[in-house]
Formats: sequence, structure tokens, C-alpha cells
Amino acid sequence: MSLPALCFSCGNALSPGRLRGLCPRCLMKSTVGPPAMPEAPDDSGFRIPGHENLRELARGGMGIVYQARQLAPEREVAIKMLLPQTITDELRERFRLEARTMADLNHPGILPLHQFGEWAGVPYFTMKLASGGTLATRRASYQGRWREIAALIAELADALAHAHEHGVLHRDLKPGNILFDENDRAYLADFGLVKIANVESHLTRSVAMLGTPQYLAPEVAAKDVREATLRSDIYSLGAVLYELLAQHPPFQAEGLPALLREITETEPAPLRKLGVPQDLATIAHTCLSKLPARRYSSAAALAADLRAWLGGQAIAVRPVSGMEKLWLAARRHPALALLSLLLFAAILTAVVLQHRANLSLKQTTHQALIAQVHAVRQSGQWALRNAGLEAARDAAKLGNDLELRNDTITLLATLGCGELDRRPYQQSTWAALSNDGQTYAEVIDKKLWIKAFSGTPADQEIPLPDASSVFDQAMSFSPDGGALLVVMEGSTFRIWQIKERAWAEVRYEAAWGLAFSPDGQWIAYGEDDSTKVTVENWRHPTERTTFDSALTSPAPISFSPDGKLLAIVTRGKGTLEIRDTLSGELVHRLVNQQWDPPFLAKVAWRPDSHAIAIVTSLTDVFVWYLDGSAPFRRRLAGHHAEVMGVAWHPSGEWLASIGFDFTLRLWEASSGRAGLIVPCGGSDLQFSADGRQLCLNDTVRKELMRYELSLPAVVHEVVLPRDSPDESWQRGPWGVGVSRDGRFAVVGGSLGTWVLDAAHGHRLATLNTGIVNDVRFTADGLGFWLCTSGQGISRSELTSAGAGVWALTTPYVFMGTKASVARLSESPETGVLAASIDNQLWLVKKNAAEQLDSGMIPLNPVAQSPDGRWAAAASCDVQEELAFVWDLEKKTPAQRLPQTRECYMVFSPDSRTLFTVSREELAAWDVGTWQPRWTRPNLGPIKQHQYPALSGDGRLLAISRLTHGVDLFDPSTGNLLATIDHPDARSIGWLALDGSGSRLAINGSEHIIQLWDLRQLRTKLQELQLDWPSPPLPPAPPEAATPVQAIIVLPAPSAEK
Amino acid sequence: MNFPTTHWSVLAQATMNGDAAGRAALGQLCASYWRPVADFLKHRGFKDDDAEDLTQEFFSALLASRGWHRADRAKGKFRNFLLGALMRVLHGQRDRASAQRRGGGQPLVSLEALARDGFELGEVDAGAAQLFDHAWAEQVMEAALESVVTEWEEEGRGPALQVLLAFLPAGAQPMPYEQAAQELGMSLGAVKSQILRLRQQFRSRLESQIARTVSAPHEVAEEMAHLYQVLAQPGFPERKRSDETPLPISPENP
Repeated sequence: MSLPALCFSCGNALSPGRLRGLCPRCLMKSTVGPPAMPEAPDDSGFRIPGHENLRELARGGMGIVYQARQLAPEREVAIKMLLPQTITDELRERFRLEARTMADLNHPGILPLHQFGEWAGVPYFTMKLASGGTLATRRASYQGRWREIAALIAELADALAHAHEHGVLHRDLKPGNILFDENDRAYLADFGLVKIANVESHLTRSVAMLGTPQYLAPEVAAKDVREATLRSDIYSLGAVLYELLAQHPPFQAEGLPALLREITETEPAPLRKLGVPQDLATIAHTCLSKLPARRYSSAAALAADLRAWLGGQAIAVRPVSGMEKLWLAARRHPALALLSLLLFAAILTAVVLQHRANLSLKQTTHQALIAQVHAVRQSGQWALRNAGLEAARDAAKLGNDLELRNDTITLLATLGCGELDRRPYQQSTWAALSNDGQTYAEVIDKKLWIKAFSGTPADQEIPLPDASSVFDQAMSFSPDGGALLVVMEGSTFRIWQIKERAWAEVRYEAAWGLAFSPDGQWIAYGEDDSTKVTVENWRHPTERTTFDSALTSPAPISFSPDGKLLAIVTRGKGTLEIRDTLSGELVHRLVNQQWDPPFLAKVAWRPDSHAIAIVTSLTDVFVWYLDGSAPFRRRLAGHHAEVMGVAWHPSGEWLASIGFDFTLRLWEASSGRAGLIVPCGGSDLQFSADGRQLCLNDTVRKELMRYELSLPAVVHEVVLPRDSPDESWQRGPWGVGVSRDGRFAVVGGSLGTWVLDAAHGHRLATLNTGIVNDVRFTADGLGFWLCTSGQGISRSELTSAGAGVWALTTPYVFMGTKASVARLSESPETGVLAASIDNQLWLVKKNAAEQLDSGMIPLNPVAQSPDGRWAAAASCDVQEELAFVWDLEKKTPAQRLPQTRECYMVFSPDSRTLFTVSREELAAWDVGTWQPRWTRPNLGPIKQHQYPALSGDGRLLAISRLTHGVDLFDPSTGNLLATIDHPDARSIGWLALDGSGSRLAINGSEHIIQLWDLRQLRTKLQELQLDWPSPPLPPAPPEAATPVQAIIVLPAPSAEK
Repeated sequence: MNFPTTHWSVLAQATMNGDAAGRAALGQLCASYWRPVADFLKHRGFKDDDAEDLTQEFFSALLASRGWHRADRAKGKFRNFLLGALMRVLHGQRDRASAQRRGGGQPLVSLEALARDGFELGEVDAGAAQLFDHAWAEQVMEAALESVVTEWEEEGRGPALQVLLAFLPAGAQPMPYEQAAQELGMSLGAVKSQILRLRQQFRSRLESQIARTVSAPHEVAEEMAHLYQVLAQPGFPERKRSDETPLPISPENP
């Protein structure tokens, strides 16, 4: 090994071939020198020559503005610099050019430019510091002051006229670009810079415009900023005038497409109706004309008309006449215009022009909409989801597009949430929500009220008994909404019967943790310093039962939704007891050493009573799953402060929590991931009975809020728990199988095997199988195969026991081996399993196994044709291009396939096609002749296609990508139909399709399982006109007789089976 | 106003908007870091070709991955982020062997997970960070130097630069000033002022280079100081011989 070259001066080792042999350290020393000791902590040594005391004022997408003291002449100035990262040579040149142009503009209404310079290659200019803010912040001060408005706009029009005379367009006139100095003098600023900022494509423009397109002229909004003329500047100034007169911009709409439509198609609301003087209104409307030719011909003309009005003289423009209106309408709506014989010839011309304009407008709009959908998808913003889908719908009308479809699929799989309404309750300190969130109780001036969100039924005042007063923070409705539990001063609990409008006779003194049963008939409570729990019929208190819990002063107590169980918690104990309601018998004792609730916890039962969520003084939500013999726990971590409230969605698939970190989080229970985080304070929350609304009590703002939810129905995610201390947790890929009817999914992993309800993602059973490499349903559909490392091939049987109950046998060994069985492929005709065992090809029958000769090449998983005639496998050495097809009758290699590095394969159900996915290409081979039916190149190393899966009917081919998701193909043509996202970017694992291509299960290598309802997805895409035409959506299967209720796990059949 | 630093915002802008300016900036960003990443990998023992392939793959993954819009300056310096991502690439390769036995292909680096979860610099040892910063410093200096050379050559003064370049760093001189003056046919004073001019020019080019990689002009000085400190440390650790096993790849429980 040769010694590295050393610097003669400092002895530093030199990198060969770098820096022309110079020593970087010495170079740095002689050219830069050691950094000066900072004089102040924030002094970074940044200086612009001739200026001092720089501080950042504002920063935007392209530039940064500093305030600084200029030394000579001494004055405060603003320094505007381009942001270094945006600089290109072209941009620098334009910046310089524009600055020079601006420097030529010498007008009292234009913010003066002092100097232009360059610092470290970053161009900058200095200008007058306008310390009086912008017009945007002063709008309200102009309300109703017509003369001041006219005078201001006239001055600005003068300035604009001066710029236009010098050939400079502003292009981005808006209140934010009109600045005031300390003497309230107005200046036009940011001249012409927008030309620099908008050199990009429609894509940039549409996204950039998400900000403030309100002031853009229609011809600019519809096409491009390069379309701008001086009349579009006049439009923009007119829009500012309109806004000052009306106190709102001329056009306002939700979302960009709607706003663009408004700007290009509709007229602004007449200012006359707002009391604006006729002529002034006419001036504004003239500026805002859709046709540039109808606007003022110059800014000077606008200024002149404004001054004429101020001087009480006649203005040059006049209101649009009826005939002109008709003409204008005709231009915008050619169909209507045909009615007018008078304008027939002119209108024909208009129609032709309109058609041409429409075509280009259509393309522009299409691209803008597609870009918007993409931006929404990338933003991951919940609040934009529905707007994104609306844009997708609009875009689809103008044309179907693969990227648009993919973006839409992602949006459909995303949670959406929008605020519905809010009700302040400032007079009281608290409000209690009913269980469906539609009514609430609050105390105002010591009077108790029950109110409805919607206003009906009418507010109901509740007469208080014995002139007592209510402790308003402890009211609660019964689950059926029939009763309200109230604490009177002095800790006496009373019950108001809402329907009967009467107080119940019963009173509870010194009771703890009171809770209504789901039917509202029973009440459970504990006692202070006692372990006693009482359950009684509050209408007939003699009907009661009392038992002892192990917890002293139990609270809260909570009935399960089926009423059969009680959850009991107490403060200071890390224990949750689940007891039988009637007998008090202990069913589960759930211990969590991390709990030590110093204040009362809240619990929420899943609607099916099989799971319970608890929040304590910790930042986590704990969910205990009570089905199965051993309850298991999932920790939902994400809140940054104590969690205050928790509620289950009626579907049991979602869980909402609200915390002191002022966020509301909506979790997918099966994956434990927060799909939605909404900033808000609060403590109580309830889903509406239909699950479409979430109501919460924002105790910080003292408001009751209702949100409308859009829950994704197209995909469920299940994450196998990983907060388990189990050391055997490993990364996949792991096997996954879907039953032919799409009802069940079975997923393998490093912690065992889960059987899932494929429609909802609920776990139905867990099999303690050890590490499972592959799982797939048997060809007869009566069970599934499990491939393990160390135990060989096992089999489980799954049969219906009626009434939605299924029986599953514990897996029994079909073929035992200590070797690693990676994957198998079953032939329904011969019953033979082709298996990859320790990277070799084996044929397995019951109690018999035979290895096929593969010339000692280690193989990837094997594929067998369903007719049992062929098997195919490739070398698992990623550098080798070796893939073979074996003739299983002769048991010899029959064909070698080309282009097969790192290849995975699958045969079509009719055994006539072999699909291969190699590093180089995707291909469909005609079985027998081994000629390709189609090929397409594989993607680059990151998105590389990897594992194929075929639906049972052979009409849908899904291929996982190494990261980012799964692509769907038409197997007959190889056409790409759609790409769907999978969150596991590490490496997508195996995937499986059901018989009809309606259900797709993906098992990520990090135990994130996705269950896609492709039928539902395609139905939603069809509604948006974004589905793929071929292959057509398969007919819906006959309605499943009974949804899966439960699986009973039976012991393994005896050995002789 | 509080905006993310350049590299974060460039990434976010490029991936969120997909606009040409953002992409160009991102491409430029990757170009600036390409050499440091490749050098770093070579110093970790990868063969030259493998290191370059892996670098290419790494940047492709970076460009392809989404989720950058969640990236946030609060999560760390961009250089550290990049380094952390790189370390993850290296560690991720260890899973290959065990996945192969289960019939699976190679798992890949979870760049998205990195962006999602944020990045703890604790995962990167100080030595690795230094190595990387050193390579980065050399990269920007080289770019600055090359732009100076180009300018001199365009002005037809390439031959003069050949002589003067050796004087750019202070310290042991390759030849006496007098000899240089003789070779260039200049006075001694003219040679010295040319050298001074060359140094100033280099410094200004270095500032320009750095300015492209920070979020606001005033951060340039900060970055220069950092560069200075990085280079003041002892040089690169000795490069591993390429026939040695690369450090991070060791099959897990083969």
C-alpha cells in the first residue's frame, strides 16, 4: 500500500487528484483565514458593504428582505436579496435587468430603489424602507371612505402610468404590494419582479397561485403571466379599487379551480348594491371587464376618471348598456346567443373565437387541475382531501390520466376532515355532550339547559330542585340520551329524565365513578375508601347487586356496549379490571406498570365490546384487545402531552383521542397509526351514530365543535404489534394469503400468524407458529399452507360452523424439515406442492418429497403451473441470469429463459402463460413455445418491480415495487392500470389477490399489512370517471350470507390424519 | 418569519410542487453532494465502482422518495440528515442475507421512514460526520477553484495561472517569488499583486459556492467558519484498502 501524499507546509494528507494538488487546509488558511470571534451571539459576520445592523425582515419563496442602516447617506433602508438557492445565471441577469429598469422609474408613487449590488454572487438592491405597512392591513380603515379611496387609487394609477410609459409592467399588483411610509404615503413596490418569479411551467404557476390569484386578470389567470399587458395591470388595480369599495376582493371561492372559473366566467357582484356611488362603481367595473379592450386604455385614463369623479365632473366611461350586456353574454355563452337574430353574424364569429379559446383554456385547466390534485396528494393535508377529490372529478371530465388516477387513489385512501360548525358556550365553564354528539347540556347563570346543535328540538331549561346549584363540570348523558346525570353542590348526584321532564327520586351521596348502562336503565357506582361496586336500576333502586372489586375508590366505571362487562379503574393503580356486570366475577385483570394515573382515567369501549381504550395521565392511548384467551395491548403513541379524552368510531376501526398538546388525533385502530391530526383543544369527544361526524368539547376555546369525517373505505391497514419486547421481531418479507372469496386474509411474520377479516382488518385469530416465511390458501379453499424456517410445511383448515362463526384447526405438520421453506406453489390438479427449500426446488406430496436437479444453483421461490406440468425458478444470486422451466413429467429442465436476473414468477390459472418479473423486464411467456407475449422494461433500482401476484380469474396482475407501492397490470396486454401506495418504504413484501381481483393484501417487510378493497376502489373511481376500462370491473359477488363474527381455534387433528 | 433552511425547502419544494425550479435546485443540490457521498463510501471500504453505483442509487432514492415536505429544520442540519440517510443505506444492506433465506429480495433503505420519523444525529458517529464534512469541504473548494481556473483560461491567462496556482495556498513555496517573476516576465510587485488578486478571487468564488447551499445570505459566513474548522482538523483517516471487507455489511446470523 502506497503512502498518501502529504502537504509540505502542514503535513496534512492530500486527497489524490483533488484541488489540483493543493492542500485544502492551507488554501483555506490563506484565502479565508480563521473565523473572527463573533462580537455578539447573533453576529454571523454577514456584512453588506456600506451598511450595518442587518436584520431579517421577511422571507418569501424567492427573496429575503433585510432592514439595515445605510452609512452614507445615513438612513434606514430595506435590502432585498434573491435567496441563494433559487439563483440561476438567467435569474441573476433578469434580477439585474429589472433592478436597473426600476432604478429608472423615478416617481413619487413608486418605492425608490437606491443601490444595486452583488454580495458573494447573490444580487441585491436597496430601497426605501416603507415602515407603514401594506394596504392589505389597512383595508378596513378605508371602509365607506369613497373619496379617500378614489384619491389613493388615482395616485397609484399615476405611478402605474409612469411605469407603463417606461415599458415596465407590474404583473402582480395587489394590496400586499402597495406599501406606506411613515407619513402614510403610498408606493407601488415589487415592480416587475413577478416576471422573474413566474418563468416556470403551468405546474408552478397553478401551485404558486394557490396563494392570491384574486387580483389576476382573467386572460392571465386562464393562460399565463406572459399574457400580461398594461390592461391586465389596470385590471389588477381595479381589483384593488373594488376590494377597498366592497371590503372584499371581487372574486372569492373555495379552491383554485372554482376561483379560476369565477375570475374567467362570472361578473363581480355590482358595487351599486353596496351603496357605492354610481360613477365610482362604473370606474371599478370598467377596470374589471373580462375583455381587455373594454378596460381603460391607460392607467392615466383611469387616474383622469377618478379625478373627474372627485371633482364632481362627468366620467369618460359609462355603465354597460343592455345591448352590450347581451353582446358580452353572447361571447361567453354562445348557445344563448343564437337566440338573438340581431347579432347573428357577429355571434357566429364569437362562437368560432370562443371555441378556439376554449380549447386552449381546456388544456390549461386540465393541467392545472391535475397539478392541484398532485399537490394535494403530496401535501398530505387532511383538510384539502375533499377539495383534491373535487379537482380530480373536474380534471377527469377533461380527460383520464394515469397520474391523476394514482393521485386520486391515494386521496381516496386518505382520511379527510372538515369543520362543520361550532357553538360557543362562553357563559358556562363546561358543556356536556350527549353520546351521539347532537345535543349538549350547559349551565348559564346557574340555570341548567339542554340544547341541540341544530337548534331543534328547542333549548330546554331544566328547573333545578331545591334552589340548589349545579357543579357543571360533572354532567353526563346516558348512552340512550334519555337521562342526564348532574352533580349538585354538596356532591349529590341527581338524574334528570329528559323525556319525562322530571327529576328521578334517586339521589347518590358520596358515590364514585357513576356510569349509565348502555340502555340507560342501570347505573353503576363505587364508594369512597371502599372496594364496593353497586349496579342498580335507578328507577327501581331495590333492583341492585353489589360486589367487591380489588380496587379502592373505583372510578371511573364503564359499562361495555353490550352491557355484560364493567371496566373498573382507580387512581394510583396500574390496573384495569374487567368484571361481569351481574356476578362481579373477574374476567380480565389488565396490568400496565406504566400506568399510575394521578388523575382519573377515561375509558372507551369498542362498540363490539371486544376492545377497550384507556387514557391516563400519560401521553399514550392504550388499547386492550379482549378477544382470544390472552388480551394483548397496543400503544398508540403520538400525543406530546397528557391525553384527555378518547372515543371509538361506530365501526370500531377508528379511534379518536384528544390531548393537552391541543391536538385531536384519529387513529386507525388496526395499525395504531394516527391518520389525522387536527389542532384543537378539548377533552370530551363523541362520534355521531352514523360515524360521519366527530363532535368535541373544546374546553380551551369554550366551543363545541363538529367535524365532518371522510374515512377511507378502500383500504385498511393492520400493523402487527412491535412494542412487544419479543426479540424475535425481524424484518420480512413475510407471506400473505387471501381466501378465494376475499373474506379472509392470513399474514405471516416473525411473531406468528394472524387470521384477519379482510373486509375490516379485524384480527380474528392468532396462531403461535413461530417464524412464517409464506402462507397461502390451499387450492381447495378449505385452509391454508404455512411455510416456516425449521418446522417445514404445515396446514390449517378453516370451515364454516354457521351463523358467521368459523372453525380453524391449529396448524399440523404436513412435511417436517429443519430446513428453511421459503415458499410453495400448489397444483390443484395433481395436488403436488412445488416448494423452495433451502433455496432448492422440491416436489412435495403427503409424506413424500423429491428434490429436482438444479445444478446446485441456489434458487428463488418456485412457481408451478396449476396443471402440474411445469415449474419455474430463477437463481437467487442477483448477478446471475439463470432461470429455468422444468418439465415436471420428465423432471428435467426444459427451457432456459433470458433476461432473468433476480427473477420472480407466477403462472396464469389456465397454465398457458408464465409471468416473470426480473431486474431487466416484466414479461408474459407463452407456455410450451416460451415465446414472449409481451414484455416491458422494469423500472430503475429504487422502484424496481419485484413480486408478482395474479387474481384467481387471471384477469389482474399485481406486482410489488421494491418501495413505494404496488402496480396493477392488465395481464393480457401488460398495460399499467394504476399504482397504489404502501407506507412501508423499506421493502414491500409478498402480496396476494383473491379469486376475482377484488381484494388485494400486501404484507410489508415491517409488518404493515394493507387490505385493499379493489372493487370499492374501482367503484369510487368509476364515480369520478377515473376507472380503467379494461379489464372491466368484475360483477359483484353474491352478498356474503353472514359477515364473519368469530373464529374458534380447534386443536390440531390427531397425528394419523 | 420562520422558513426552513435551503436544503429542506428545496427538497420540499421539489417534491411537493414538482416544478422545474425546484427540481433544478434539487439536482444541483445532489450534484454538490455527489462527490462527498461517493468519497465517503470509498473511505468506508467500497470499491470505486461499487461506491459510485451506491451513490447513484442513494440519490435516485432521495429524489424518488416522497415525504420530504414533512422535512423540518428542527430535525437537524441537512448535511447530518444526508449522512444519517447514508448510514441507513449501509446498515440496511445487512438485512439482505436474512431476507434471502426466506425467499425474499433485497430490502431497501427506508428513506421515507427517515423523513417521517426525523433523524437523530446520535446514530452517526463523530468520525463519520467529520469524514463526510471533510469531503464536502473539498468539494466546494474544488468547485470554487475550477471556476477561477476557467475564468483565467477564458481570459487567455492560463499559462500564468499554471505558475501562480502553486502560490494560492500560503506556506512552503514551490519556488521563490523572484523565479516566478522571471518565468512570467513580470515585476516582483506585479506577481505579488496577482497572487493577492487570485486569493481574493478564490475567496469570492468560494462564498458564491457556499451561498448556493444556505437558506439566507447571512448564513454564508457561518458556513465558511464551519468549513474552516472542519479543515483545521487532522486530515482524512487513512482510506481502507478496497480488498478489505466493507465495514457495515456483515450478514446478520447467517
